[in-house]
Amino acid sequence: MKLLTRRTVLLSLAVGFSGAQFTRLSLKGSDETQGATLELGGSNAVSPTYGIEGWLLTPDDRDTYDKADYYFDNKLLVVKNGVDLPGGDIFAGRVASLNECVTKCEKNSFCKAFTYARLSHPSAQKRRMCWLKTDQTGAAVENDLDYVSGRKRKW
Amino acid sequence: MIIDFNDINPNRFDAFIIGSGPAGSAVAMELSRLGRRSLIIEAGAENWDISIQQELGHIVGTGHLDGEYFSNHWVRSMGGTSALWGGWCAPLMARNFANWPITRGDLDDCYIRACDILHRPSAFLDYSASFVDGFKFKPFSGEEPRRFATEDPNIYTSDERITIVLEVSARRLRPRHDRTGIEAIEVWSKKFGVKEINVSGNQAIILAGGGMGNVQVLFGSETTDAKAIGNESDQLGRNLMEHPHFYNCGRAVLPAEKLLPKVPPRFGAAYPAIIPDDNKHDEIGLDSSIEFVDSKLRVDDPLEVFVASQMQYKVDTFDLNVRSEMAPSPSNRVLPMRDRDPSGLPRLNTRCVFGSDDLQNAERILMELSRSLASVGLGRIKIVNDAIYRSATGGGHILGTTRMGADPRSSVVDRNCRVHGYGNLFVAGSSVFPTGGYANPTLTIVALAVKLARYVAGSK
Repeated sequence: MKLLTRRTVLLSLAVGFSGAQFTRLSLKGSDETQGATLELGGSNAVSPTYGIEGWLLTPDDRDTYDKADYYFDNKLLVVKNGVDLPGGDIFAGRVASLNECVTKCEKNSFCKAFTYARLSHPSAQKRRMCWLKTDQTGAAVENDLDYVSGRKRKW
Repeated sequence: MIIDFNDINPNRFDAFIIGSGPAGSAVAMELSRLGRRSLIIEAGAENWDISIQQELGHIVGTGHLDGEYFSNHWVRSMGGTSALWGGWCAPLMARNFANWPITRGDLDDCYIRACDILHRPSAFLDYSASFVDGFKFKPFSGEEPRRFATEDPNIYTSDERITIVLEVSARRLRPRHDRTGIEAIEVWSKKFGVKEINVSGNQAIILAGGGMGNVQVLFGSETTDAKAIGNESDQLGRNLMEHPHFYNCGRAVLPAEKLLPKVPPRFGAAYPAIIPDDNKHDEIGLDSSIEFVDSKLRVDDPLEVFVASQMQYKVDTFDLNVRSEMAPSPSNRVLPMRDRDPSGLPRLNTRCVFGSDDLQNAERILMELSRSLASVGLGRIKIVNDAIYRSATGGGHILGTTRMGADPRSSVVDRNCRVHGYGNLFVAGSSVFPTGGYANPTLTIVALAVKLARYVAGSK
């Protein structure tokens, strides 16, 4: 058995425990770059940051996403905000925006009316759903800003 | 050949290998190829036996990975943990050897032989393809796992230079008086109690009992007068590492046709994955990999639908699994308890806690990927917070507990995997890894086993 000198004991206490030979592995720059809410650097216009439900979106993404419930570009349909048209469905499906729903109806000759539910809708299954309809719908239900509806003919 | 302990003639053997898992089996195979004979001492039976597993494999411990977890990944039967592994292979890269006393170059030939032993073409070793800024495409080799015990024929019965005794536990190594080598292996069996094998200076002893087993047999040599063999600097069992696995920790929307290369046929079976390139790795400080798993667009998720519709190309959707590097920490360790198992070996107590950096590394690599994809307008990433910060698990990889290093004060084995100071005692397996990279360890375990066998054979 080797005799331990005082020096060896001290050395092994100081060095042995911390494994001083090794460069400690660590995550670098974590204070500056960490944080889901911080930009990683580079162009702000493009850098995605942690946002809605875990998706990393750019400022442009978020802008478009917010507008998606409001913006549409169409001449064929008469669109009314805050209105729900029950029944008469020939199609139901999820879309990315109000504009997409409007376009779908426009391009489908059987579609005479549509209803779209906004992201704000309390029922998750209905958010950003698009229903294409015939003329045989029920009476319009007004004053519900979770919905937008439109008709190809006059209301 | 499987033999009874009483029929052993110890003088026949060039090496005694403790443990018959991939490490021990690869050492035996390579020694055989070089004309050397080995005796494998395996505590388990020919077939997996739950009572042996429970009696000998019981571990207690706390942390993100607890004692039961480590027990579950230490298979006590012929063929060891090859019975369980998934067949995934990837080599460690040059950048992963920064804290090792050997280089990637020292293992190049050994990796090729390892591919041969693990039944896969070697083209995947150096294959990579470009991906977005900061990353490269580096798939895992995904051939069927070799199961050393259940393949027919198996090496234990078909190779005349490989002999194995079963249900025999190596419970203590007796050092020579001057502690420059091992002079005997004390074994225990339910059938005959305690016996000894005398070992000459020309015969090598290779511990291949797994990250837990190697530590256990070394601690078994501790006495009231002397520290355990390999523990002279209090390094034995320290720096226990795993590979944090974060399953379904993200989703990706991107055009596969434009971004994901087609793996060439010579590669063999592949699991697609990306890793940070060398610059990005150096910037981040810890290694990682992101595996892409095909998934359908979640039409019920308005955000995913929105994100997919925003991309200029038609996109594919993927679930993401991150497998990453865990930084070594001396307080993550394996310790012996006073309790003994039926063979007389100390029962083990573990602590394995993921550090804050280990967890944040997964988030960081996803954020880096998201930035690179967005900057070329080709995709978006979702982070699943709880899959990173609440559900991290391991890969069944037990690393670091008898680490390799040049300095005996901060390591257990040297660059040749010899336990510092002991001429005829070596360690095989992932317990020698000073750092783990992100890659599944089996391929590197086998490559190091080949290197060790060549060293042992060459030094005669």
